[in-house]
Amino acid sequence: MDNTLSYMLRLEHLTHGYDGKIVLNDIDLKVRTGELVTLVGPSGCGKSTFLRLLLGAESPNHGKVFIGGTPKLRPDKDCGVVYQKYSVFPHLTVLNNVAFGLNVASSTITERAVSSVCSRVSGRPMFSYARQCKDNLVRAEEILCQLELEGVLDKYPHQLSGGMQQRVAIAQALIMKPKVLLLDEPFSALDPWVRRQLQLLLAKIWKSENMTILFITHDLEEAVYLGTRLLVLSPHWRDGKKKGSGSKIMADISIPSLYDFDAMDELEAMKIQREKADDIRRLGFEKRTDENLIPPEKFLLQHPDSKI
Amino acid sequence: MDSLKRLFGLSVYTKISARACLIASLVLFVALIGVYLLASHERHQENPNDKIMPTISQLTQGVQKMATPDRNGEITLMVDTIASLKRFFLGVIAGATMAIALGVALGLFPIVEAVFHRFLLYLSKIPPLALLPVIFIFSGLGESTKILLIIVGISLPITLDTYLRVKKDLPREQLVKALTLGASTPAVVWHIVFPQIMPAALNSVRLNLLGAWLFLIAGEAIAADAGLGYRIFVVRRYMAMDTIIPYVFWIAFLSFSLDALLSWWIKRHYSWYEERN
Repeated sequence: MDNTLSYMLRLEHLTHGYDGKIVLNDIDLKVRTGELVTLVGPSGCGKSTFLRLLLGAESPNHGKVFIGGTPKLRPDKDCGVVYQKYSVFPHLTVLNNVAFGLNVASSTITERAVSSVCSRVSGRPMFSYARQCKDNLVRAEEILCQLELEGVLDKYPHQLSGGMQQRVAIAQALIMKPKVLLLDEPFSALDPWVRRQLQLLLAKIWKSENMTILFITHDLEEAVYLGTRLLVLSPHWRDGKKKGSGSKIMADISIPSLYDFDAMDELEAMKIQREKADDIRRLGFEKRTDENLIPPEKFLLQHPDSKI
Repeated sequence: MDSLKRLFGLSVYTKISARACLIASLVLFVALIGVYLLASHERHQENPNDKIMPTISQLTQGVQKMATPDRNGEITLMVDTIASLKRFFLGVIAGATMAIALGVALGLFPIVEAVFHRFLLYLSKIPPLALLPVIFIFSGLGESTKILLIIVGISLPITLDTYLRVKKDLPREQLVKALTLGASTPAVVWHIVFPQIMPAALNSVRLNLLGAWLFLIAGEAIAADAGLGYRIFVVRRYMAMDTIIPYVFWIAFLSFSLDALLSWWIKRHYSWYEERN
């Protein structure tokens, strides 16, 4: 069945570049609801550009991005995002950071301005908006408890560790139930142990909420560990005799599920991942010399939805 | 010898205690007063009628004259202070509000930036005092002119500074993040940009307070019937240093207090900003 509507995220002939230099070259991709797609690539391969295009923060030179069937024109509620840095608002407490999305959704800006003035004057919540805000805070608190952040509700982000800040960022995105959640190297700056914890947490949430996730990282082991499907974005390919320009998706692989985290022995899991990662590394993740660059059609593209 | 070396060392390994710091910062104040008293004493030995460096008792008399009600029951110092502060606050508040709003718009909306940025950059190179005659010619010698002078003087530097803050200090990721959480453009501006840029913008206002005083005094020197600047320029004709010196210190004190007040306000309302930096 190739009904395009059944894909949550769809890219058609996506090509983008700056000042005449191609960064992304004719990328096609279809992602189904509930997939956890990880995208790896060497540094400078255009991962951040790719993310901006998906978010609608930039419009592609050619091609289109569809989220749930509708073309993506600018950043909106359809795509949630967690960045490596700057994901949380430094001027809001943890609780208000998480409630932010709900708060802006429950009223217009004039209602908020009027009710915040009135509430301040009268000392208690006025109008339905202010009462709605209270409900929002309750919901935010629930999500924060799920992520084991109940102790830091009234703290500011700068008072938290890096791992906790990323948890807040995840909670903040999660509460809006986006169609697609994009994560851009969210755990790259964290200690290995904290990182592993957050990976497990993300996997758990993904499973329980049946979310569609695109996870961008430069760490192959992490990509293999988390993904149900792994994409390699790489500029190292051959176009006829020449080296190709811009990055393409050079591998699109389904990964057997590793999500029985509770049952699986950690060491065993890590071993399987390492083997998987080595396979993919051989496939073309690493830089090759000009002679043995591979044309894109030679890659092992096992995923049923992949097409070149 | 070793400890002396240490005392003059770099901040990475030299620490001075709070008490020592306080004492050290008093040194120059005491020195200034001491040198003044000495010089004033010398001059009065030579010429008991010297007006240029009044003695302490003459200064006290000068202050008393200004701080007690005159024939009409008005306290000159009070009248002057109120007149000046009124102009000062009106000018600073109006100027800073417009400047911050414009600066934020410049930094956020490419179309505003494209139209205004170069133009404002050019305008900001005009020394405001060079515009003083123009402003007086166009809008007369009234109150509004003096306020207008302050606005013209401080708003461009604050606008351009706020613009730079929005461009450099506010990560684009924050804006995208807010949009992905469903915020509209006005909501992003109001809930994300303004609160995050406010502490930096207020610091910029603080730096420009001195400019505001400068333009206020320049305006008052030309046309006014009351005001701190007006007074020192009036009594200059009689070389009344016993009034000028206390007035200068009073202006410095007011300016210092306002700056401290603003700094305290920023610390209190934007604790996240102070602690993060």
